[in-house]
Amino acid sequence: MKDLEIANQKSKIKKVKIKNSFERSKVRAFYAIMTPFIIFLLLTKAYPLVWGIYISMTNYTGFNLDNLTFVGLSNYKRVFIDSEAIPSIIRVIGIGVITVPAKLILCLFFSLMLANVLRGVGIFRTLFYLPSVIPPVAIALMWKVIYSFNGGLFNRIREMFGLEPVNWLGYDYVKTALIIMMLWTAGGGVLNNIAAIKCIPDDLYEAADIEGAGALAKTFKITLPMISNMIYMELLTAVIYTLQLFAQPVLLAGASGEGLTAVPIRPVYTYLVHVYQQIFVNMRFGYGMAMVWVVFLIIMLITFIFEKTKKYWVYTEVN
Amino acid sequence: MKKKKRRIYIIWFALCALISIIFAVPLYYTLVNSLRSLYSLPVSVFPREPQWINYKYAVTLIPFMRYLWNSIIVVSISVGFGITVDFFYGFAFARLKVKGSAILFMILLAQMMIPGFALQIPQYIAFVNFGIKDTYWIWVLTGLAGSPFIIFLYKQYIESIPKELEDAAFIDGCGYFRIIVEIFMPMCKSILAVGFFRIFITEWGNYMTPYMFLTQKKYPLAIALFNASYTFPGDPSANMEPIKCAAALLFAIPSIIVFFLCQKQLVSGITAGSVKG
Repeated sequence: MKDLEIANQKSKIKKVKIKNSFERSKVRAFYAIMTPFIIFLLLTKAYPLVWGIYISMTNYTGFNLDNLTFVGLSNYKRVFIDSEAIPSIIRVIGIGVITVPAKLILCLFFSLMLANVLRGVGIFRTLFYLPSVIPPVAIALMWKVIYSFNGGLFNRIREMFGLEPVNWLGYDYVKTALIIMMLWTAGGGVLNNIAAIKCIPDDLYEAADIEGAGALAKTFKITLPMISNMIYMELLTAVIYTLQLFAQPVLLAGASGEGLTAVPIRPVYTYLVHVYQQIFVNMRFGYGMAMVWVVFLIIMLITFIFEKTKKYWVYTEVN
Repeated sequence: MKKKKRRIYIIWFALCALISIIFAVPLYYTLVNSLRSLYSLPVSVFPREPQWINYKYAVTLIPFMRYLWNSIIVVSISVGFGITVDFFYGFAFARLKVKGSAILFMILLAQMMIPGFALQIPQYIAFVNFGIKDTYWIWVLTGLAGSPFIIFLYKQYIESIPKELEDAAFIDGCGYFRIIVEIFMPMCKSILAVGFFRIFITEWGNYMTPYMFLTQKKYPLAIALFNASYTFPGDPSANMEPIKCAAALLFAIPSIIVFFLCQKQLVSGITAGSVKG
């Protein structure tokens, strides 16, 4: 009897030992894996970020590291005085109010069309998604030719309707041209949306069938609410992305020999283009960084508003 | 009833086909124009005498091969780290929940909030200070720091795998390195393919980082093609649009190939990952 107890205790100790060694090796493994993560996080992200906040409060111009002057928040004040900064943000919003909803609605429409498995759906999924895998630079090169004045595709189409050819990359049409080009990649979200739609339990639709609901009712009463969390994420990402709009205008409407420092014409001169000009052309690093943090604060504010209003329009399952 | 279903299918098919055609037109237009003669106006039908020599010009009038090689270096570094190091990080976040892991995970999520721009400009200044401007070390350093989106993707997927698996392996005396490499990596092929796809597409098309950190000689294709001004020696007046079209298509082909290779895993990987989350 005693022997059994001792044996029992021994095995208990053994179990605890295994568990302990398991825990210990877990801790060891975690920190072994995470050491490089932490080191390089500090080196390539934390340090530059802190540094970036600091230089936004100095007069750093690229050469004067030895005698930096701390200027407090005056760079931030300048953002609101600068005759280009605020108008360029308004310009970006002007582009965004068209592209963000248009892209989102198109993408949703495509996803609803492609969610069911019908014959040929695979090919359509591929074709809808394909434009969004093409590198932005290639897209810009392609669309520049499409928009060319002499016999470009869009002017051909205008001619077919008996209209005069226009300069698509000129002052009057470049915003439209940019928006059309951006809408070409609207299919980029279909795969995610389809995945979300497929996760909706079938019994909801079965119940709707019994009630005699039509396809439209099912779409608006079941599918869309069930993927509203996905739509919410996509909308938020799209807004953030649009505020940072930089490359497309430069690539499409800038002179091609000048790289990313090319200045696109006014209607598509966005906020971040202005930042880029300040930093890499005028070498006003301090001011440029202050501008970056201003847009970052705007993004934080928008995210906050989205999160706070989420409960009114996003369906979430209560666990 | 059956007849009605058939009619709906036909309408659906026609609509999809129409949208597909609209989406395909820019690509088709680029293709036909890459084959037109240098001395003609843009065309919208397949040219009768396709000028395949435009593709030869596209790769010989600028040092295309050198830029291609630079692209391959940059993409290999990023992809290499992205499907190994990031997977280890993802595993640690998913499975090794110890003291301190929650804080690190919060930091990971916070990183996703920071706009790329706010990070890259101070990074530029920092790397100049480190003295590694104009080298590929920048890709190594940022690669080792991991991409938050990819780590998160892996973490979500790994969490959906039953836990008994590594407990059994651990009792058998398997170390974590072997557990990750020999058990988890083969099981996570589809999500690794998604990671591979995402990183490849982003890095192959990335013009921003190289433009900031490198100089002309080390430019990968993404920025080199945008910067390059194709001119004919001896005939500067020739219209170089067809050659630019050819270059754009050549540049897009690897992305399209990778897309087709990973396509199957893309749908299944995303679905499996989102069932959990």
